[in-house]
Amino acid sequence: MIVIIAYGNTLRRDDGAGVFLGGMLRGALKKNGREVNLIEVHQLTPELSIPIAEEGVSSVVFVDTRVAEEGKDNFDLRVTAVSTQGGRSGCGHHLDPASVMAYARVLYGKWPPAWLLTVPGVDFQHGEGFSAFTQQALSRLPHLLASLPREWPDKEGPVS
Amino acid sequence: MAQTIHIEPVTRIEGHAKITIELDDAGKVSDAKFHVVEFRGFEKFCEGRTYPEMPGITMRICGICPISHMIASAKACDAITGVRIPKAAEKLRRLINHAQYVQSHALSFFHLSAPDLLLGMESDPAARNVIGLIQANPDLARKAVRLRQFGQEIIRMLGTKSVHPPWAVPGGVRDGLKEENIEWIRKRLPEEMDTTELAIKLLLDSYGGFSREIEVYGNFPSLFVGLVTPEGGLEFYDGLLRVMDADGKLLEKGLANEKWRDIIAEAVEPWSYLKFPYFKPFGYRIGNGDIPGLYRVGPLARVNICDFAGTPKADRELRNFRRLGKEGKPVWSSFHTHYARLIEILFSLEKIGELIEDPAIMNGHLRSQAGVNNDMGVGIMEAPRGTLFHEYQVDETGVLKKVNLLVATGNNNLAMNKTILQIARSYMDGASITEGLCNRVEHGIRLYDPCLSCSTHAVGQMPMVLQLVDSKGNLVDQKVRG
Repeated sequence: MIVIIAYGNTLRRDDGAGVFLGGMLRGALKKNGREVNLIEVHQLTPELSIPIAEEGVSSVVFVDTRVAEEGKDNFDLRVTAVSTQGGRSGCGHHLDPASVMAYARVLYGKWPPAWLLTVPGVDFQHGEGFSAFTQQALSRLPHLLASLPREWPDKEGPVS
Repeated sequence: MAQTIHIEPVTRIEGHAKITIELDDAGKVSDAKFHVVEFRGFEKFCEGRTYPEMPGITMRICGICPISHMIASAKACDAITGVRIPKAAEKLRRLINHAQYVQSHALSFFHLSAPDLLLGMESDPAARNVIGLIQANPDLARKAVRLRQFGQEIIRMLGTKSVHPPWAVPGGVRDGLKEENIEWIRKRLPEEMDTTELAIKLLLDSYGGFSREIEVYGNFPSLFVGLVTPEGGLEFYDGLLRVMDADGKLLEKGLANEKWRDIIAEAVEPWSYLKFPYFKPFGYRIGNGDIPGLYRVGPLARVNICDFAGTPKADRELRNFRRLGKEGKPVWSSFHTHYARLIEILFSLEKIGELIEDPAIMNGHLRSQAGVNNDMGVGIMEAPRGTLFHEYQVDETGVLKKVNLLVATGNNNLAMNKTILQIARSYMDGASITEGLCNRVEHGIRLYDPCLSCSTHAVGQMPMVLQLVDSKGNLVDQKVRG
């Protein structure tokens, strides 16, 4: 079972793209016969460690929007491995993926492979719908998945 | 020469903030300011939308207290339609609100504040975070996670999603509880009650080590504002506005919600997006001195202003809490907000137990239907962080002409500034900022559990001015935005 945790504010334009991309990723993985549990949230909180620690969870994919700046970002989807050793701060109203994984590791002794998939965002104003940059990046999900090892996200491999 | 020291960002609170501590010529702290610079535009954004959309829109203001906004908004919409909602709907709204208290207060106490309380305010910053806490006391951390999950799960049962459930609507709610939901809640309640009582014991046992913090973390006379039941009991969902002064005298015993503007006005300062509400009859500022209309909302205020809680365990703790006030006065120190917060979790758990055993909650009539019958609607409720006001003006078709949101963090803005000043004056040693001072200032702010993404929602009204002023009051530099 792959747990996808997609988060963001769906009324702040590109900030909601992570939630949208989470749905796309679930569709793509299920199409390949993978079992998926999609969790959509506004932000990351400690109790998300509970579904991560459930029996049979083989990997976790956090899906979020990243703030992209021209000249500093390639405006493409990006996958990075998530540490289970705890992240920055870790005490806010929201956590980062590494802190959620640290909860699962320390409290429940579970640390399946975890990944952060991000989509670039440039418009965080009030409203729905995505900027052209973000839409273009979203359309590249099939290309990204094709470039990843076949066993991803359950097994580690070379990723962007 | 006078100096200005900036601390930013304040970690472990929602949104972003900057704090300025100003020193005089002698190197003593002369003032402290809590700047809110994050910009949200929900009030303006909502104009032109229709009022039934509001519970769904305003709950997107915040990922931690969406239920509060949903309920305050639904109540304002109820007032526009002029209907009385079905009894079962009211009970269900109360149930989801109590669940929200459990999850939100659990996050504040266990995950935000407990690292400081259990690991020490001066301890290694690398360890003084929630990871340090769960490594130091994994059993408590596991219980805390389950307590928060309990609240979230009830919200999920009623609203499908734990965040932003499209559930409360004008005139009532969309769905009710199922028998299996009640069974699940009934089974889990004792465990959550035990966790809360354990946390109270741990907190009170630690009090001996925090006597100085109790003296200087927001320990000052102020007014206290919040809702109470018509009988004067602790109330989170509905009720009357009560105002108590620092000596415990009631300035307003029970004001009707729609008269809130008679007692509360909002001031604006050029250095913050967050408004500064104050008790209108006492005024905002006399010269450069104190602000007589300064009031506090939230757990400390609520347990101060109520005559009783109305449930056995919470009333037992409330009697103990009252002993912390000096000479029979209300409890002044904001440090005791931790205790008040835990009492409120206990109260909510007891109320959840009462509500699920009430057969009326299973009645299938959940929504009253009506159109626009009033051009103005006010919805006031107690969010975990304090009193939350939603006020809408609509045209005859129900399109919003004006929206005003006064959130708990805004209500506590003056008190947070005064708390920072008090802490800085007590712990500032020389002209440098130690890790300990930083953390104490942050802890002082977190006592109010501010949610800044909720609280800055005005647009196009307040310019942002950044000023550098020397000891003689001369403006050295200024930057204006907006």
